This record gives sequence, C-alpha cells and structure tokens, in this order.
Amino acid sequence: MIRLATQDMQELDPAFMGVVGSWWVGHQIYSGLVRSDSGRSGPEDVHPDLAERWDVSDDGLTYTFYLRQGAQFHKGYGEVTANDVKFSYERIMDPEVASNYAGLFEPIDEIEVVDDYTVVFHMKRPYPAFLGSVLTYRPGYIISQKAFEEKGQEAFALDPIGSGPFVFESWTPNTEVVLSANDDYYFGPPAFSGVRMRVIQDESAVAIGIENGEIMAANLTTPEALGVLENNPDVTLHCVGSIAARYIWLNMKATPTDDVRVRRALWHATSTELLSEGVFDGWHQPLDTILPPSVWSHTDDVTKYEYDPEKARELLAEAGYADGFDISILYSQRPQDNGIAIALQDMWSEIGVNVELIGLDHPVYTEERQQNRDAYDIIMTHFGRDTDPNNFVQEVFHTSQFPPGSNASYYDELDDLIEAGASEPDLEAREAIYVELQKKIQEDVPGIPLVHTTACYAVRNEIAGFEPPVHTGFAVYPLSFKE
Amino acid sequence: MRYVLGRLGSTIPTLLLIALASFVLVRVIPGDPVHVMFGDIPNPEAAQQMRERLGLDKPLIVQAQIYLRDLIKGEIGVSIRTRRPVLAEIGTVFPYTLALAVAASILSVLIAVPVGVYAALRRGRFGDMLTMALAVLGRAMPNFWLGILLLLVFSLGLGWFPAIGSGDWSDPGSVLQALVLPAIALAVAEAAFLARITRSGLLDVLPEDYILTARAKGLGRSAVLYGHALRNALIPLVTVVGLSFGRLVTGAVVVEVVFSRPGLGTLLVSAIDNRDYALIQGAILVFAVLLVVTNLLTDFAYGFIDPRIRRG
Repeated sequence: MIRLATQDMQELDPAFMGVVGSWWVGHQIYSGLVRSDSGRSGPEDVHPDLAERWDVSDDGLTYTFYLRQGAQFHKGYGEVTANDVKFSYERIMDPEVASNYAGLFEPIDEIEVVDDYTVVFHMKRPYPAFLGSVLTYRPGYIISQKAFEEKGQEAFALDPIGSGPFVFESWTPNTEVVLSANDDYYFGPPAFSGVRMRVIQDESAVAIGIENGEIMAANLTTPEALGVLENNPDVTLHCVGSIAARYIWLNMKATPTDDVRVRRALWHATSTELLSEGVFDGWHQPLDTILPPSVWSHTDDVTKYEYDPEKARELLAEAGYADGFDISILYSQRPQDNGIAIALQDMWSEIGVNVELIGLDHPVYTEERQQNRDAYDIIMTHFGRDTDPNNFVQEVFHTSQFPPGSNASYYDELDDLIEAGASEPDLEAREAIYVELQKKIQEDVPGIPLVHTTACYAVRNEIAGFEPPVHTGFAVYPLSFKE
Repeated sequence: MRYVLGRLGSTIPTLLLIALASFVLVRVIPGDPVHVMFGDIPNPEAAQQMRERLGLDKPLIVQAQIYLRDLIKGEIGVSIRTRRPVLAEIGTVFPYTLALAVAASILSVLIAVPVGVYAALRRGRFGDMLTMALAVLGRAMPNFWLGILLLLVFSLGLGWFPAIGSGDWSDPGSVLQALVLPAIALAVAEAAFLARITRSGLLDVLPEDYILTARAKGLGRSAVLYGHALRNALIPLVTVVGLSFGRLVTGAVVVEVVFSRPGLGTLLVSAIDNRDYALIQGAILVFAVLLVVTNLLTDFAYGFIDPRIRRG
C-alpha cells in the first residue's frame, strides 16, 4: 500500500470531473487510447496506451486507432473494445449530457467502429491538438459502456469502471480514497497492493505527515510546507516548472485600462522578482511572458516590460493619467493571492495608482468573476491548461469566451490566429502561428503574467521511480518501493 | 414522567426553528454550489441542468417548504457534492467526533477532580495558587494552538503518536493512539474550567455542619472527604459536565481540522467551502440535536441527584 495526500475528490465521471482530487484519482483508475506520463502534450510525449498504434491521414482529417487485444475493464466488466471508445466520447459530445469538455470534441465529425479493435475518427477539420491535449487529457478516459448502462450516470460517477492500473474501492468524503491493485493490468500488475489517498486540507499537516512517514508522496505548493521539508534527508523534493501561472487580466473595454499605454505602464510598475521572493520565498519563478516556458512553441523573442517605475510614470503621463487613478482588483482570498494583491497595491502606489483590494472567499470569487466581471477593473486568476497552447489561448483569448467565460480582458483581436493554430496540421507552420500570436499578445497586453507556478512533489526516499509531471497529480503505476 | 414528556415536547419547536434558521443562513452566504462543482470550466447549460436537478432553481420559499416538509418526514436531504443521503454522510463521520468528545470529556473530569480537590484542600497556599494559575492558563489557551504544539512535540519530535487521521477501525489500538493528542488538546480548557468548579464546590461544602458532624463522629479524613464532602460538592459539576460536553462536540470542529481527523467538524468546514447546502443544514441540525439532548440529560441527571429540582 502506498499512502498519498490529496485534495478531496468529487465525482469520477470523465465527462464532468472538475476538481483536482477527482483528476488525481482518475489518473490511476482510467486509461485512454494514448497517454503522456510527463503531462506534456507534444508529439514526442504521446505514447500507446489502450491503442497499440495509430495512423493519421496526411490531410489530418482521419485518425485510425488499433486497440490492444485482451485489455480488461475492472471488476469483470469484460474486454475494452472499439464500442466502449465510441460510447465514451460520443457521451461527451452529446449536447443532452452537457459535459464540461464538449468543446474539446467539437471538431470530431463522426466516430466509426470498424471492428472490435479498430476505431476511426473523422474530423470536420484538421485538429493537431487532438492526440496530445484531448486524448491524453481527462476527457480522454475510456469507460465501460456495460457498467455505465447498468449503473446509470449518478451511481457510475461514484463507482466507476475503468481499465487503469488501480481499481476504485471506496471513498469516504473528507477522509480518504482507497484503490486496489489491478493485477490484470495490461502493462503488468502494479508494485503496490493498493493506494490510500488521504484527504488533508492543510499543506502544513501534509508536510508533517511526510516527515514522520504517514504520507509517502504529495504535491505541495505553499512555501511554508516546502520550507519544512527542504532539508529533510528522508525526503526528496522534485520541482518542475508547471503549466500554470498567476495572472491579472485587464479590462480592455473600460477606462483606464482600455489604453494600451496604461496597460504597459502597469506591467512596468510590477516587479515579478519581488512577488516571487516576497510571496513565495523564491519557490515559484517570476514570469515575463504570457505563455509559460513549459508550453510548446513558447518564445522569449517578444517585447518585454522590465520593472521600471520611471518609465511607467512616463507612459501614464502620455496617456493623460499623470496623477494616476483608482483601480480595483478582484482576487480569491487565499493566502498567496492575498500576498500578491497587497504587493501590487504597494508597487503601483509608487506610480500614483491607487488599488482597491477585493479579496473574496473562493466560491464567491468564482461566481463574481463569471457573473459580475464588469464590476471590477482587474481580475486575478491562477490558470493553466496543457502544454499544447491551443486550449490556453482558446479559453483565455477567444471572443467566444467573453465572461462568464475566461476571456476576462475582453480581448477581441486574436480569433483568427487562434483558429489558424487550432487547425494547422503542419508542425512548423503551426509553431510559426503560435510565435506570431505570442508576439501580438505581448504587444497588446491583455493581462500581466506574475509568477510561474512550480509543481513540487515531496517524495519519501523509500519510493523509487518518481518523475515529476508538469501538472497536478502523478501516476502511481511507475513507482515502487526501493529494494 | 410528565416532567420528562413536557421537556421532550418543548425541544421539537426549538429544533424546527434551528432548521429554518440554518436553511436561511446558508442561502444568505454568497457563492453558488454549482459554481464550486464545475470549478473554473463554466458550462452554462450544464450548470442550469444541475441547478434544476438539485431544485435550486425554485423560489426560496418553495425550497424552504420542501425542506421543512421532508424534515418532518425524517428526510434531511442528499448532499449536493457526493449525491449521498446527508444522514449517511454524517453517520460515517459521527463516530469519530463522538469518540473524540467522549474521550475529551472523560479526560477533563479525570484531570479536573483531583486538581480541584487538591487546590481546595490547600486553599490560599502555594499549591492552590499554582494550580489555579495553571487553570487560568489552560482555559485561556486556544485548543487549535495547543493542538499544533502537541503535534510538534509528541508527533513530529518524539514520534509517539500519528499526526494525521484517526487510525483504522480494524486495529483498535491505532484508533486509541490517534485519539490521544486531539483529546488532550480539546480537554485541557474544559479541565481547567471544571477544576475551578470542583474547587469552589468543595470549598462551599467544607464549612457545612454535616461535615463537622462527620468529623466529630470520628470519621477519617478521607472518609469525610470522599463519603460526604465530595458527593455533595460534585452536584454542580454534573450540570457543568453536561453543558461542557456540548461545547466539546462543537470545539471538535477546530481540533479535527488541526489533526486532519474525519468528523463532523471537517465535514462541516468542507461543506461550507463547497456550499453544500443540504450537508451544512444537516450538520448544524445534528449539532443542535446533540446540544438539546445533552441539556435534557443534564436536567434529568440533576433531578435524579437532587430530588428538590424534580418537585420544584
């Protein structure tokens, strides 16, 4: 048994899983056609899983997957077949189901079952992100059609049947999730008899649990918890730049942030070094581009705005705000976001910008951000998708995502580039599109990147085989106890 | 008997009022359970469907009627987050909270009575002043702070007790072991309070005539103390212990979070974080029932010990 600490799960229906705790459990119990162990979604990161191999037609419109034979669903629900694949994805595409992930499957025209082990996806248009950032991602999990129809949606969500290395056994809300080893797993039985995922809300408590051995591995984000474990000889901290970062989004449709000079001035007045050191003890890195370096096609060859209050004042004067102005920031009342907001208030006061801090309890913040965006000038978010840039730019910058969606800047000049990048099958041409897109965002400043989140995993030294993935939650299967 | 029935009958309107108040209060807190469920991927159609399924699209007054009607039938609803009956959710964690509160209650009496007796017998002397000063300190110390202190010393430093969780029911030893630190954290403040009550109760009784009589009969010092003085001095303690049990159950909310123990407290905190209306209402109702029941039992026990109360 390996003991981990996680956040609590909710439901495990791949069409709806919306919280970190569910994703982490899903990662152990489900498998998809393809997988990415590192969490990266580039072409070299995608490996066979239930599909042994696949072909993509030259025009990028047809994907043919050849399934391995003999892969079994848990608890006697039989072999994984092409029909289960079709069923799993058509459910997410079905408007009646209203899945959170329906948008990711929109470019699929039809799913065709050729035989039990061959399934073909016909696309409406080329969709280069399909393999790396849809099929390896959470909605890519294959569920047992038989089990789903037998149990019904509600029961299935809490008693799911997948074909991954671990079998779901039980969930005690606020307490723990227990998984057992799937000894029939097609890559061979796991090294552990099971997984016990303890729900612990406070990261400092997690750190104590790791120190005294009650917890063997966990994802940690707070500098306090990381500081506790930093010098512990029994524990190794694996840290890697994640795909997430903290941002502030500026309203491009309302004064004074509708003026690009004001937006650039605010960026010049922001010391991300200071945020990194002051709020995160240097654990999370300063970020000076909107797309973090872990995202494919990331470029540093863009306009940058170094910390320079003098220049910020000049820009403000040029824009007619020599005496500054009042501005409000909406953020989630979590300790670190709070620290950032206070630091911004302090830094911007130097250029005469008077910040009103509006920190709200997380659920209230989410609701306000979505339903009442215009009541605030600036919105702070902690955001990240996968390492393919498509989902990120689509969600944050496409005009279809104006509030209540995630385009909190009301940025409306990027749709063409976003759509071009989403459907360009040629790798080099696609990269060129995203480079152009990054240059444009950096000129227009719809928002300001603040701190790049470092994904840190504390792992006790009796556990071998750990490689840190770029997003929250790791696969337990590759791990083992050291000899 | 009529007294017992009368008291029981009067609790029902109290509980209904509490249920209604909690219904209103959870809906006054801003934040929407459906937003919490879907995280940062909004899908307006899915959110609307979910709201309809949960009955949250109905006017508040209709929701309140449905809630109270179901409540009278004995149904307290289904958790929004887990889709399981609220009673089942509470049932899985309640034994942990009860165990913690009972352990802390026993522990606080075991500490308080000897300390209180010791202080009373040394009234005005150094031992009395020292123990009563310690009692003030114990009473003033917040239980979460004491909990963290205990964790650092006995769990992290010495490794005697686990820092997380509540042990495994299949291994009763581990359950007891996991209970020790949280029970101490919870018990200390109550023990300090009860010690003061014991001390003053005993001091009230010691100058009484019947104590003098007992002494004059030639009874030994300990026979007087335990056979006559303490028995009478403990009457006020019974009431206070009953009331303090209610405080311990609610105090467990904080201590459970510090020790990452499952229980009503952690359940309530996460239910509030998730705006799980049905679960919040259910947990508050359970707290209310517990307080009402302990108060009732205390009254009955008091009446049993001191017959004047029943008749009066």
